[in-house]
Amino acid sequence: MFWKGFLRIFPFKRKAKQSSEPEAGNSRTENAPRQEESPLGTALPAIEHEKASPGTSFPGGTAELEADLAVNIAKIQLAYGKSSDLVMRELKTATTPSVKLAVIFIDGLVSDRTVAENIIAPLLKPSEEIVSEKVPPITFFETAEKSLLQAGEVSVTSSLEEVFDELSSGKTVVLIGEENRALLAGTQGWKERGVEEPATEAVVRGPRDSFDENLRNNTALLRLRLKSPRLHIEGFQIGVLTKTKVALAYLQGVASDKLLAEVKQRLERIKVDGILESGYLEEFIEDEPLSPFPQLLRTERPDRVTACLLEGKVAIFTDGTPFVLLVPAFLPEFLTTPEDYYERFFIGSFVRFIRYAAFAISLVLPSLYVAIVTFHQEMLPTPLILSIASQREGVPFPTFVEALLLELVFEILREAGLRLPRIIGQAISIVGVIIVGQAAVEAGLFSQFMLIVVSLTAIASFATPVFSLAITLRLLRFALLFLASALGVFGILIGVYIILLHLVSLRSFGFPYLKPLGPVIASDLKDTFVRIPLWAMRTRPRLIVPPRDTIRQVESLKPEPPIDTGKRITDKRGDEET
Amino acid sequence: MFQEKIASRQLFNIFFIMRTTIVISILPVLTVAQARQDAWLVAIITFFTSAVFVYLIGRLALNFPDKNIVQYSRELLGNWPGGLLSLLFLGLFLLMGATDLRIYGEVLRTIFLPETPLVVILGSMVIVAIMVVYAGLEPLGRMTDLIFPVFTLAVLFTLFFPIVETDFGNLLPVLYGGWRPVLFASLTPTAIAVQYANLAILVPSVVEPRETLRAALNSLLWASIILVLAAVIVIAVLGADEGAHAFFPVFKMVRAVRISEFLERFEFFPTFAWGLGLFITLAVNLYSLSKGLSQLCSFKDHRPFLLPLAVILGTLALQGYNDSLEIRNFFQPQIIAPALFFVFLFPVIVLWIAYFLKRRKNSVALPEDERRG
Repeated sequence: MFWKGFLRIFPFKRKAKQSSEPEAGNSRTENAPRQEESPLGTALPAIEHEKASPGTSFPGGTAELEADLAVNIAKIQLAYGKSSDLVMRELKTATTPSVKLAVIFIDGLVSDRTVAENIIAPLLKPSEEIVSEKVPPITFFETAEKSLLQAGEVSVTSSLEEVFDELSSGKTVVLIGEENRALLAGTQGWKERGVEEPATEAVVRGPRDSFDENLRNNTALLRLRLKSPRLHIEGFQIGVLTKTKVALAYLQGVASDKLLAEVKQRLERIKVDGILESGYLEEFIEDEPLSPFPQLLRTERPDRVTACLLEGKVAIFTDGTPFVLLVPAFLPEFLTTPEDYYERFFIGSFVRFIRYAAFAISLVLPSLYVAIVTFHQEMLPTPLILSIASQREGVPFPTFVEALLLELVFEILREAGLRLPRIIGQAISIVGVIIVGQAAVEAGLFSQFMLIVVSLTAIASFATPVFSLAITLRLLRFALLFLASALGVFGILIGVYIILLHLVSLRSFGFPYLKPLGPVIASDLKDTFVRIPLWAMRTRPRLIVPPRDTIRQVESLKPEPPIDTGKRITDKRGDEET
Repeated sequence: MFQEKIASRQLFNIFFIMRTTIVISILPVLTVAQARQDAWLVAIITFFTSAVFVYLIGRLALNFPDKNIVQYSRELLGNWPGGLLSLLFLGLFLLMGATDLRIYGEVLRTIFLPETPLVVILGSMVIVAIMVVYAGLEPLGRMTDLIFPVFTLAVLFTLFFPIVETDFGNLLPVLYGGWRPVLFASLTPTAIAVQYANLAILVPSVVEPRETLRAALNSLLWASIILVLAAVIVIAVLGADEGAHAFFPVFKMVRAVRISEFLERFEFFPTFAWGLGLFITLAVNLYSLSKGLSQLCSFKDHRPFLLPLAVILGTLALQGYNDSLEIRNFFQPQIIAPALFFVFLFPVIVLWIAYFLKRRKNSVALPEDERRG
């Protein structure tokens, strides 16, 4: 079992056949020509249609290849319509008797050189031995498969549906004479972005590679880091039209069977026209779709995925996006970065503390300011409240309106700066600083204190390492602002209480979202507010890992100076020197 | 039927928070008013008297570890008498919930939100309590896990900041008025210990029922320690005279403290702690109430009862007292003690007697069962 997974990094084909519904194939081919007319319109009716009549056949006959080259070519051409990127070359071999062939591939997805040199050339001019053997047409197929095609991966199929799938993923299809089978040669070679630095999760110390848009590259990056054959990567195909490859990676034995079954069941449930990003999957498989909190951790760092797999999680790779989903996710993990473990544990713990503080600030600071200035001026020391009051003298709005306006301005600035090219983005930030920062205060629109509060909040919200949680905080901040303006600190208390209540009721793939804080799991607190030294982290996190595999290292790994040599030698040296 | 479970640790949290909330809010004033500078003695005595209460109700519940009071009172007394008796108990939850609610409403109104109508304050608290109970007992238990450390820290801050202003001479002379006022004053906190009546509903939901009594007694012990501290510090900071007159002495004490230019008026801490604790208190009372009532009416789920009960609770809190003076009067030993003792002790004692009678009857019939039990 293990070596199979090890040798074939990606056993898609097999899995795809097993997991996708049998009836899904027919109408896909059936609807392919229609798709040209209205790509959006047919997508969903296609799915419904499948269920209504699973046995519907392909318009030009069955969904199987037939023993007629011309018919097969016609079928493929009909399915792809007038697509200009479909290349079809009809050839004749140089053998006697000559065999009719068709080489079909999609331009841009294949490497032209491979197709020309390793597929077409050997087929047209088979080597001397084969010619001399005078291969009859019947066995030319086998010869081509065994000795002619010079590709790393060659497979045989008679299903038209599989032909379409593989064509669209960059393989070259070879149809030979009167065969009702097709040869599929792996000639993939499209332009890729290559492994770059992670754009959203940079570290000072740590690996600099990140996932890219190609699923195979991504799983390879993982396999390079986690060499045990216990790393299993299972393939799925989701999306009736996009046929997006999705892979499930887990450490066999460390990830619990219950979790795996749950993830698979949720993934197999999805029947849509297309999956374009892991965010699509996220919305289909999360536990509580109406919660503002992200219930899946996403990352583009291979080291983070590796670490999470070691803790018994399951990673969901999606083709076409560098973002990998990790389940189950717990809220405290959204405040961690891989670097916490790469730097020494003092600083690792300290930055944790900073992040929790930033988390609290970005959630409640503006509303706390509004509540105190509006309702509870007595809570501030007298000199401070006097200086706030003197600054607010010229401001025409109530504090709440002031806070709301400034927050909105900030959100607009952020949104504007985010999408612009980097050079113009700088211009925006200068405009923002000068206009909002200085002019607005001088014009008496906003008070300086409010400016400080809002910018502090903004900075704090950037300190949240996972962007999806920062988005949540942005939304909740506005809700708290309204509560604070109505009921003061009491309103904030109510708001925070409701948020906490929501958090403790939330589950990620059946596991309590606030673990290890609610319910309290004492042994997991080692990696929550503080990050204890690695040599003291003997066990994997509780709950998700089955009990048989919770120990992750041997005992007494704490390093110590050598027992009898160390001290004596330095003493002697010291003696000699003096 | 699916039974939600909480850990005994969470039970400890619940009762510690409930008890400390009420203790820190109102108790010092009542005990100080009666016992003056010996209020801390009251706190110590209260621990023992309350422990008797907790033992009575907790031990009774342990005889029926998978049933709540509605179920076992029917089993012991028959359908109708048992139902009526448990209704008396449910009334207790309603009364305590409403009173706690009103007290916190008064605190907020007098200290933080003088312009806000009381109905808005009470209403928003009731809404939060509904949300908690609607989510169920398990989220409630996890909430206490989260709140417990924050709550404890806030309470300790409240009690330790004022230490700079203490004058322990205020505690002298000890037992100036003799034991009588001290014992008399301890009636009120003992009566308030009937909040442990919630055990009667919660025990079947605890994962380890045998642990519940220990958890409850532990929570009482720690809450009593906090109460002793609070009483000592309030008297030491304010003095017996001023402490007797303030309605919320802890707040008054905190306001009186000024450590430095920037460390003053930190009544944020007690309000915060109190608010957190009050939501738990309210939610637990509301849960017990709705759970008991749903059992009484043979409903599977307690949630349908939530909304009407919450409305009743809110109305009772709003209309039950005209002002904080009336609450204070209600807490006078001569009023609260007979009332709550009757509502709490009468059913409990009746149930104990019924239990012993039944056990005797059973032991005559099945002697081997008795030995095992």
